[in-house]
Amino acid sequence: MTKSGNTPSENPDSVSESEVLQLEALDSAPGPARPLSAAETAAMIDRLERQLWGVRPRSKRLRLGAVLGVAGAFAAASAAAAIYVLRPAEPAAVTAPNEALRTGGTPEKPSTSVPEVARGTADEPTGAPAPSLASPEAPAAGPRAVDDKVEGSGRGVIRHSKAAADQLAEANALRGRHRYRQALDLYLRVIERYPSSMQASAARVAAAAMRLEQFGDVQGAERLYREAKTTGGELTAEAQFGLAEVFRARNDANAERQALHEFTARYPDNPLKSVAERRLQVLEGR
Amino acid sequence: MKPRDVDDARWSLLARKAAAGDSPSTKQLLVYLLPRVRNLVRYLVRGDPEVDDLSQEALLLILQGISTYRGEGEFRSWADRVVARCVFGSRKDPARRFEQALLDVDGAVEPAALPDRYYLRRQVVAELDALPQQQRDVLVLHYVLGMTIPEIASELTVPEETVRSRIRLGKQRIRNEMADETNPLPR
Repeated sequence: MTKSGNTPSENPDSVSESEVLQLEALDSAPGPARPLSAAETAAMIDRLERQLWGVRPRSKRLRLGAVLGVAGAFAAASAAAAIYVLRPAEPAAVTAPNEALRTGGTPEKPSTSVPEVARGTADEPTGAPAPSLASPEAPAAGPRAVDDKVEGSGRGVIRHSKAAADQLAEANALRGRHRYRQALDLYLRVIERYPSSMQASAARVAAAAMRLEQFGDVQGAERLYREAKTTGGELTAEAQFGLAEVFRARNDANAERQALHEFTARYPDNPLKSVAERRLQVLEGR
Repeated sequence: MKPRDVDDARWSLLARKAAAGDSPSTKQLLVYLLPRVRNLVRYLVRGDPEVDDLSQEALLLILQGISTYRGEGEFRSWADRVVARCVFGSRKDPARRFEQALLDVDGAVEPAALPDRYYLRRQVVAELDALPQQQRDVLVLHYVLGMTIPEIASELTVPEETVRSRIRLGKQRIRNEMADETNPLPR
């Protein structure tokens, strides 16, 4: 083996590069593919067997990934219905096959996907009911918060709201390009500078979900979800559901169960209620 | 016999039985292969939505072609090549390219209650997602599948120097990305 890196295992430089890049040899441990539930695995293997033995023509096979992807997008869009606008989602009927595949009870986790946030400014109505910009929620304090200084000044509020929305949009764009660290920085800046804005509310939930999913920072995620819950806003339901995810990450089944019960009781009309109920069924062995 | 040898022997035995049409062995082989195939597909494609469709196609190709596995080398390595070729071939399908463009790249990320390694791997593929496809391919073939540069060049039908160049550029891009990401998490 030469220095040219013909085989990674024989080239010291290459091995160290591999470690730096964190690229591991392939195995069957979880990741990087999203794990399948037992029911999804069984359904996929069953489908393959049927295809293999010719019971079902290949051309008519179920496009599992497409269905899961579209259903995931639909669920995420529903979760953020009030002020979020996701990319176009399929009607509810499309989710039906997905639901059928998930009979094993492992819940989907659409809410923890960081929501795409609409720019949601006064200039760019989203079509969703617009929260009153003149009466923002109680501020989360912070001496550097610029939006506190302009409360009561309609034009100023709108100007700062637009700035917050622009930064939020930029954070979303960064996340879309997988620049997670920079996106997180920007989400936190929105929270710090415009703590009482509806954009800050969205940024808290988005940043919390990113901390949990992209960085595995359970404690940081919990703090942000709690802040999002406390400060109110349009996404308190998502924050409550996120807290349940945090407890799940900690393997704290009791706290997770309690959080999910609180979620289903307080937000009976939330699209995530069915997800929460399925997870509760698993936790409670029903 | 080392544990790895036992594994290889078991895989090969199952493959031979599956090739002979033994249904339980085929099913067992699928159970073993599924997570590995899905992980490899995810390493090679951007985002989650295509993973299951492509894994399904790749598994079908493996089973349909299993009689051509001649027992030379590890069955898993042979299967990995089939999967990689399936993914590369899928990129030539215009309908699939269109479908891929419509799907959400992030998709739903799954359970939080998974080992740290899962999150690490998710971060790694997020880095790979930001790379040009050609650079991504050679990095995965080289570091994840352990293929040599001549093997990769042969697989992709490109000169060896091109493979080296793509590896170098891919690593450089990831290093640059990582330089941005090495600061501690903001509070």
